[in-house]
Amino acid sequence: MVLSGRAGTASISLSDAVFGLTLAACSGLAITAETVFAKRMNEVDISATGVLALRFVMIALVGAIAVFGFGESQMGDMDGGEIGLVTLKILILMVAPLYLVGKGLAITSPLTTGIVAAFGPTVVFFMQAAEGRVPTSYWVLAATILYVVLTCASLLLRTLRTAGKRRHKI
Amino acid sequence: MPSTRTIGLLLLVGYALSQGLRDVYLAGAFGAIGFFDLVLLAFTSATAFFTVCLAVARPTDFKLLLRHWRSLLAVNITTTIAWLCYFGALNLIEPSVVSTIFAGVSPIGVALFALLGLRSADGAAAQPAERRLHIAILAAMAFLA
Repeated sequence: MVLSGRAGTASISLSDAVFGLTLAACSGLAITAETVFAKRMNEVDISATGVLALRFVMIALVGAIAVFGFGESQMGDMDGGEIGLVTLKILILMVAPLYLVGKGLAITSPLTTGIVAAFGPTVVFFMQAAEGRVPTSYWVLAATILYVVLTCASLLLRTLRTAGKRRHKI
Repeated sequence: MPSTRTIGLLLLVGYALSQGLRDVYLAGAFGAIGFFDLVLLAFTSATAFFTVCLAVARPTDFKLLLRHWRSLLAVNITTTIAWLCYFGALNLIEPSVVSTIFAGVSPIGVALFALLGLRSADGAAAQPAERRLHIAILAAMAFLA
């Protein structure tokens, strides 16, 4: 869809589309590896907040080096108040999902968490449609719905298998 | 008084909504604020917030984190790659596509990393039916691309 120009961002070049898709896939793979390392830390009794507190140190340093060391900043035209407001918005938008999923995970089953999380891309689709900056592509909506259906089926299968194993043990 | 289950569900719905807001806001903000400005603001503020939370709730975790510095370093490296790529992708293509590909490659990633010996203690291997669904998810990602 993206490469053939049927997605919302139809006006971007083919090379940008390929690069963007590659970055999204690399991001998903890296976060999968991160989840494994984070789970290992939880297994040695480090809390989720503990991992969250120090997992962004390196990327914050990368940002600081780029901005202060290499002058990669566009905030020169902004005054202190504007920078403060942007920081507050970003803080809320970064912290809220991490905090809510942490709390939600603690009191719901992995199946519920997985199913609600599977709807994430569809929620993003409708929010981006409401914002109106990117033209709506029903092909993208179809792909996100297909993803929800397949992910929920996979989660249900896994849950049934785990429940079956537990029954056998009993 | 809502039950724990209802509260959990509401928190997760809040998570999905806030994640959507974040992605749409960030994708729009790249025009006005520099890429690395966003990286710096987002992750410095998140680090400050969660460090204060940890200092208040479980200060003993700092010692544990230092003791397991290798895992902490691995988490930092993978987080840095993940978020730089995520921001880069949001800068180029639409948020819903980024979000779907990001989530959709996860089952393949789990299988791939398991082959390399990277799995958590509860990371049981997928059964054939699940594997078929994971391949179908990958096909859906290819369709989206």
